[in-house]
Amino acid sequence: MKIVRLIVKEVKQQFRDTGGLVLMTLFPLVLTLVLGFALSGLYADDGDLEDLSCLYAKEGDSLLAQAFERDFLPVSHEAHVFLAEEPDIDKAKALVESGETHGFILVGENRITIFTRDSSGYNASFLQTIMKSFTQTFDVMTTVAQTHPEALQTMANTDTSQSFTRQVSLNRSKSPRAMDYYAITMLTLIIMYSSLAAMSTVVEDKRHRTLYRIFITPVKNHELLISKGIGVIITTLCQVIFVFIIGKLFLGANWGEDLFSVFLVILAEIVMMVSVGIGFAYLFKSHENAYALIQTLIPILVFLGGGYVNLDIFGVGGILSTMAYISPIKWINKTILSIVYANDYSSLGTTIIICFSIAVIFISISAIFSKKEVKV
Amino acid sequence: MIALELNGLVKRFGSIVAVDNVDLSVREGDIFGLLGPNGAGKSTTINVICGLLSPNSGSLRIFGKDPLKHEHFAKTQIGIVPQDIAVYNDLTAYENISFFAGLYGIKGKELHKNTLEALEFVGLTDYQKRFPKSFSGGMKRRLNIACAIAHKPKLIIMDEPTVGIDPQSRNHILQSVKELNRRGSTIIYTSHYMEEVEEVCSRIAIMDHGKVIAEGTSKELKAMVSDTDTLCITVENGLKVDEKALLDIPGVKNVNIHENELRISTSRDVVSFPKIINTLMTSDNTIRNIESRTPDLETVFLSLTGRKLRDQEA
Repeated sequence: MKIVRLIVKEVKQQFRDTGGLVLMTLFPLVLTLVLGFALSGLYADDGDLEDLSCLYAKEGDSLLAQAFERDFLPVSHEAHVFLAEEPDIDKAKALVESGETHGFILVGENRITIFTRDSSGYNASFLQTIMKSFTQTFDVMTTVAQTHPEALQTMANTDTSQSFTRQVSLNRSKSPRAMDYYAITMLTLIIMYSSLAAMSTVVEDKRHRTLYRIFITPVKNHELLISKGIGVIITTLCQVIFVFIIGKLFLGANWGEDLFSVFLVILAEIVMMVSVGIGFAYLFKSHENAYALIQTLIPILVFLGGGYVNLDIFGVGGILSTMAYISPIKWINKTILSIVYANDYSSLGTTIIICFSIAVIFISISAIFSKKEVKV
Repeated sequence: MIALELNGLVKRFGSIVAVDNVDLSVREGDIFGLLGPNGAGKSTTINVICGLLSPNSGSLRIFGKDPLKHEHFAKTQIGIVPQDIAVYNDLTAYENISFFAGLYGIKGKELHKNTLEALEFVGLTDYQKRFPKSFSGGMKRRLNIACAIAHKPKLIIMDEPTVGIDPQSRNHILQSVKELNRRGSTIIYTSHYMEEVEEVCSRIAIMDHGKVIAEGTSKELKAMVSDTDTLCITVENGLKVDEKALLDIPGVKNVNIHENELRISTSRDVVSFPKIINTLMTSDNTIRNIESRTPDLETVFLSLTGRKLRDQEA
């Protein structure tokens, strides 16, 4: 009951903070609108699909390579993928790196490797999906050939060779427009600022000596921490849902069909950032330093995560692309975009683990340092 | 019954001994004054009593129970009015009181009733829906008190509750202290203002450098430092009196004449006042004013510590 009372108080205070509400709701919507229009030329539009020109090479004359040439090459153009053979692997990689070709597909003995400038970008996801579909079909055919060769004839008549191109074509039509892209990245950006709201709940309690007053009641330290966290999480979730609905209804933002998974990632980010905010509040003696550090870190992490502009568009690669992976927001944006536009869940688990691991670290810090605080 | 008992309480912060072997006993129903300058150890003692700090040694009992073993009991018995105003500016007066009382486990109709009673007690009923940021300093102080009493604690600790407020609000708070005591609460009252402590406290302890250097009623404390009263008499048209005649009166210790004013130090144990007046009247003096001066707590503190109570105030 005490914990409910604490949570209700936190939520009430958060909703009475007009400045915070405006920042967390109107700010992302306005930014989405402005950036969505201003940078629409950099992203896909609702019209024709862009063709992908790619190179490929075969290592030997394996069954996989034969199937690639026999079943995939003749139909790849239907998926707007135009392939040219380049036997020189190093040269092909260099062409990918320099941006002269969208990607390079290396067909090995029993595996296919895809090279793109940024493995998390749309082109990479697209090629990964199309090749995954092809290899799955190949695997099925190989297994059937080994176990029930008589069924091969029947399967051949069903024209399975083109099934992957149809699947990929559907995904291709969902390429994000600028508005779609910024609806996602501005939402994940603004969630980063929930750390400031979380920090503020602790800092204001210290500043107004209300923390002292709470400590002399029978409330336990962990009850206070949990309630502060849950209070800000509830408030942020409400704000996110508001931004989500307005963005979908009035800006036509595409959030895909699997809203559960998307919200799972968003919830993980909220939990992470709220924990970071509370942790910083206890970790730093000077609240000004804590605020300054968070406000410096957020734009950097968001930039690396492609929050302001998709780094793929400018062909940014190398060190910056590698560095981007230190940003949790990179993982979050990548995962949501992959789920919405490629039905690709491969990074979902990693992203959730990253977010909750960071949350656990900062919750532990809060627990340790808040106990010390009581004793001082 | 003893409301609060401290035996040999010690609290150190590194090499600094903030509370040094303190023994205190506060009886139920007392208004107990804790006097001392900044850094005397008052706040540290209070923080130990309310469980925010663990003592290095010594024992502590609240209504006969060890608070370390009966933490919930101890915390619900105590209400603290902190020195700094500790309320939420973005919660209304009602919400502030209700929130803090609710943390003691009070709920439902009882919580609502207690909140309204606390508001009425501090005279803020008409302001219950207002936010504290619109309150005057005195109103905030009163809300600060209401937040500490809504759960009906048996022991109320008030740490400098009248700092920085107008005389009217101060008077209101002092009356509140007496009323809370009349309703059955034991009060521990710390203040820099001697006159407040003298006015409301039935017993007083003086702390300095972490130690209790004196304890007793106001009268007992004054008696500790002096057994002498000073009589100041002002006459009209020049003083005509034989100094020796005054000194011969039993109980008169010293006579000091300055123009129309006569200062006579008298022993508190001997009734010499009628004889002094008679001597002056028979010497054909017209008395304009008589004032009896007894040592105040400031004098007591000065005498015990060698410095004034507010010397070290920030």
